[in-house]
Amino acid sequence: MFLSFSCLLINAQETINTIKVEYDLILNTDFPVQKKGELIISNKLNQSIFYEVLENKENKIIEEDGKIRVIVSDKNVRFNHTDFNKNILISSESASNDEFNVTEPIPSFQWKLQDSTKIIGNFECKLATSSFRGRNYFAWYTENYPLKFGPWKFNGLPGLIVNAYDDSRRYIWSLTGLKTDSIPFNKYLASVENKLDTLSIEEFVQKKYGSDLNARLISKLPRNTSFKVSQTIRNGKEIRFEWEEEDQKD
Amino acid sequence: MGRRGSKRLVFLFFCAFIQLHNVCLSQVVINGNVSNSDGTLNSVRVILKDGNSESTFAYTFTDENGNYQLKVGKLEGNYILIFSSLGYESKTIQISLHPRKPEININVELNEKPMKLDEIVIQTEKPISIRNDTITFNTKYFVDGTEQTVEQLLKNIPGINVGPEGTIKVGNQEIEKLLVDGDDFFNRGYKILSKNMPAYPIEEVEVLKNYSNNRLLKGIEESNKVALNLKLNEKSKRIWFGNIEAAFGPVDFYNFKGNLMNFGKQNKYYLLTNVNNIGYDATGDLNSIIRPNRLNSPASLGDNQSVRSLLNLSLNQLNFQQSRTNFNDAELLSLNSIFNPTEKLKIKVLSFFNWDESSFFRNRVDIVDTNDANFVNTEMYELENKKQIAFGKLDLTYNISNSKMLEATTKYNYNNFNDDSNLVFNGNSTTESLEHNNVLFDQKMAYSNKFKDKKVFLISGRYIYEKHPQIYKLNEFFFTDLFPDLEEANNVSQQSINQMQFAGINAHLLDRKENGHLLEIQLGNEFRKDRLQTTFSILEDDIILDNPNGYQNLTNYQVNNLYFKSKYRLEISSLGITGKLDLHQFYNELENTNYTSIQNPFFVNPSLGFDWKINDRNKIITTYSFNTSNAGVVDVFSDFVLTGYRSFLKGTNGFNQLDSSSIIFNYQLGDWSDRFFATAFVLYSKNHDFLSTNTILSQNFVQVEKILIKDREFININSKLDYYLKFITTNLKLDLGYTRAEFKNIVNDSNLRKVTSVNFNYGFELRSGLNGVFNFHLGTKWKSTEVQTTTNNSFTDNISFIDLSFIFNKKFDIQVQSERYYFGNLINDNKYYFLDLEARYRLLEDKLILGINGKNLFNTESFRNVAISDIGRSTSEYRLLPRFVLLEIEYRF
Repeated sequence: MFLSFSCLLINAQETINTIKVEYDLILNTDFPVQKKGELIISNKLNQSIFYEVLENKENKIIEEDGKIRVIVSDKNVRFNHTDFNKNILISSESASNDEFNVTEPIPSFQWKLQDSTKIIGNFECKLATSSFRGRNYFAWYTENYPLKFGPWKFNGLPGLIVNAYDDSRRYIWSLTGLKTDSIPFNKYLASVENKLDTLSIEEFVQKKYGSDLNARLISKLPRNTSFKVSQTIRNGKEIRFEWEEEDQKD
Repeated sequence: MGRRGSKRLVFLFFCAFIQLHNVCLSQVVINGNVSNSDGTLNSVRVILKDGNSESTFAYTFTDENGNYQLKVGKLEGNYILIFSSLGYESKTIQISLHPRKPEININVELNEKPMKLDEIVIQTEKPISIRNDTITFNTKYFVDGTEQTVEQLLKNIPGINVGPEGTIKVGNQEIEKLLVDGDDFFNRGYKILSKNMPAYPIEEVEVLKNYSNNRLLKGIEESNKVALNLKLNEKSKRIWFGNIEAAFGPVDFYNFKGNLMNFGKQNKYYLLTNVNNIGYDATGDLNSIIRPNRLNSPASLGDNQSVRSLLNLSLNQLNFQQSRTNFNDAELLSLNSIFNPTEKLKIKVLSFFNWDESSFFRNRVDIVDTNDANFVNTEMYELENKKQIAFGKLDLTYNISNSKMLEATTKYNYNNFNDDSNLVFNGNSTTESLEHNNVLFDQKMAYSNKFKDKKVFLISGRYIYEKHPQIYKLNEFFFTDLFPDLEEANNVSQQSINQMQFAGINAHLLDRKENGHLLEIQLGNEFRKDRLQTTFSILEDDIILDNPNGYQNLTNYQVNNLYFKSKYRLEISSLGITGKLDLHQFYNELENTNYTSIQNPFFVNPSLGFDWKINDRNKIITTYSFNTSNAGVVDVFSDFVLTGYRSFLKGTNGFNQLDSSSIIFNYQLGDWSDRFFATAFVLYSKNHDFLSTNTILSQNFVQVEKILIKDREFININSKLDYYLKFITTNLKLDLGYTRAEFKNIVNDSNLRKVTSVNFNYGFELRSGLNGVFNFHLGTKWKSTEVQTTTNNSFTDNISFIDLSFIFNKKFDIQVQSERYYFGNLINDNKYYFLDLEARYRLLEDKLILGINGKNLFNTESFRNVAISDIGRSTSEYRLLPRFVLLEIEYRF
């Protein structure tokens, strides 16, 4: 662990436009990958945006005034835009090779604050847990940074998330850096903009999971091979949705 | 205050998304507004704590108008309320809560406080770390304490899939090896390890992508292999563990298996034993240990060198489960260890011993109907094979430095066989005996040097000695027509020695360019010396009457191959182009019965391949190659060798180089997991020269002579199609294949006659993917064969199967397999049915498992099938293992 310091002044009205929090994302899926994500927070605008940093070869860095760096790429950037003013969360998602912008009301995480504490880096962190759409999450947050925004769809903790993961550790977010940034929030928002179709979350779930992929895979196996049917083929971050819970109980 | 009422709805709306850590029936509500000198402030955290500011009782954030509402439930007493936002001075307010005062209103104004926000960078320990091609999983994050075996641990690790048979896949790809602390015992036989080794000593699991068998070639050679490495924790030294499996049934059927192992950090041991008489081949996985074949990969020098014997007493491969006809009595013991005496030195010792006595029973009717030959032979054949196999292997690896490595492998293999048959040929009762053994000594050295970041130089040398002497005796004399003068003869014998020595040296340079292109250059020399000596004797009882001329061989054949091989692979976005050019200078010396001839052929073997990923759904791979090959010793001997109780074979008595060209085309549409997935494969090959046969057929003997003929053609087209039928949750698989081979041969002094053989097969399968207890898999396949010469022979067979699976719960499952064979060429007894059943009950999860295993439940006693060839057709009947049911018990410790 190491720390590097460079002093930046936070002055509420003039200099702070945004706070930039950097995360390592581990997507521990078939062939796990490690990615970088950035969470851009504007307290003033009551919005945040979280996006995956593209590989160097994919993005073009545009410099304005010698210091502004905005991601521009031919590829659509994966992002989550949380806007508390409008109570809307827009996420870019893919379903069978197509990409969409998916909208939903900002979801509530029903965090349970726990007594556990842990030092991560030089942050004193507290633990909160939550079940959200079929996964149980652990989030270590620091009260030193009173920010309600978080990476991905996370929100509403009493402080900034330093480390979060689901109980199978398939998805992991680890804070790696934190700084203020003089680039206006809207510049970031513009950089992830795309021309994809917009779907509501219900429409999207139907599109993505409407077909029976699992049965399809099992039925393709050769003779004398088999595998036990697992309970779900949904192995993304969200595997069960609020409106489906009634069906599951039957 | 007046504003509050109008904003009530907004509050409720807001609070639905910002969770309050509280109960619903809150009685005390704190609310208010936060502002600074310029106006209201949003996103200010409002947090209620006890007086020590230890525990948080409730929190919220202000909304876009700076308002907040905190429901605090039934709290009573003194608390503090803290207002904080980045860039402002926090404000703490003491409050006293009492149920009689259900609503408290607190408005605050925050002062700006330019604060220092350090740019912070953290690196923390992570459960998973990804470095280049290695993904490391720290197992403590993935266990919940119920895992007993490595297999169960691996099931917990996302991205790793373990099949029910224990096949381990990363994504969709089976792993190459399962290493323990970087050491490999079993190669592809890794299931023995994963199913038995306990999970608790394992600290980390590493997924090694683009795996290379030689660590210095990592990232340089073309590799898409995956391997897993289990890293042990320090304290798990010298723990012995393993399992015992025993199965018993009536009529003395049994199967016993035992594993015992110890994987210390320094030394590792593994012991395996199997004893069975149910037709089970326990050495299946071990064969890849004796002769691992890594053709075309670096340092594979000599992997394809072995002695081929000319006379065997064994049955042909059947088109159904071999184990049904294998009346065996096998014992296997395997002892393996790995030592690491110093950090740089690794010693690996593998050994196994296998004893087996197996019997086969076959009745056959051969109808020969061609040119001038028309006759019927009947044969009743009882074969008993006894074998003893001993194998030892010593591997030494010395890591001179990070970039240099020296490897040495010494192998010794001794096999002893005693084969006896009882034969009734056209009513004559006869016995055959074949005593033979095989000695193999193999020494290999390899030095690898990664002299630059992406450049590796390998030099390897190998010496192989293999000797295969045989003594064959037949207590009948069927060859009166060939040797009419020897009227007294009543038996024959043949003694033979087939031995070879191989010495080779190879220098190999792999150069991965900056742009990803790969250049490979090899320079090498291989020398092989063969000696084939056969002595055919005609006897009267024990007295040799004659060793007839034309039936004795003494062949010394030396081949020296000096070669230069080059290969270049280009990658231009989605197109890969691989070009190869091999140059060979041969020096051949053939000595047949004291007559020596010499030849120095030079030839060039080029090849060109393309792999093109047109888009996500369409892929094409195609290769063209031209190849010249040099004849081996089993082609060049001069006189007849006895190859069976009524057959002789004769070589060409001269050098041959055989030219051939081939084209391969492979097309893939979609991906395996797609709803629709199809592949097409076409192989066309043309032998510009090839060794055909000149055959003399008669009732009692066959004489085959190898002759050099021009132009043989072979084409194979194969297409598979998968389509998922959504409405019945079932996949439909169609399989279509066509093979046509055309060549020429001579039978009974005919002219060169053209032989065309055509195979056509088609079939379908349906397999369900149901979510419940029950699943089915059924299929049927027709296979039609036609051979055209002067006459036509053809038939169509059909094989069908239905498999049913019942998985009642985690503890109990039943698998049923049934098969039906239909032979179109048989007039009666042309349908055969088989039924096998297996049930398992896990009494103690992964400690004690009980099972029942029934084979051949319809008790089908024999099995007949038909084969056709260019000289006629034959019907064979095999005796099968009777019905048996085994009770199985497995215990792990």
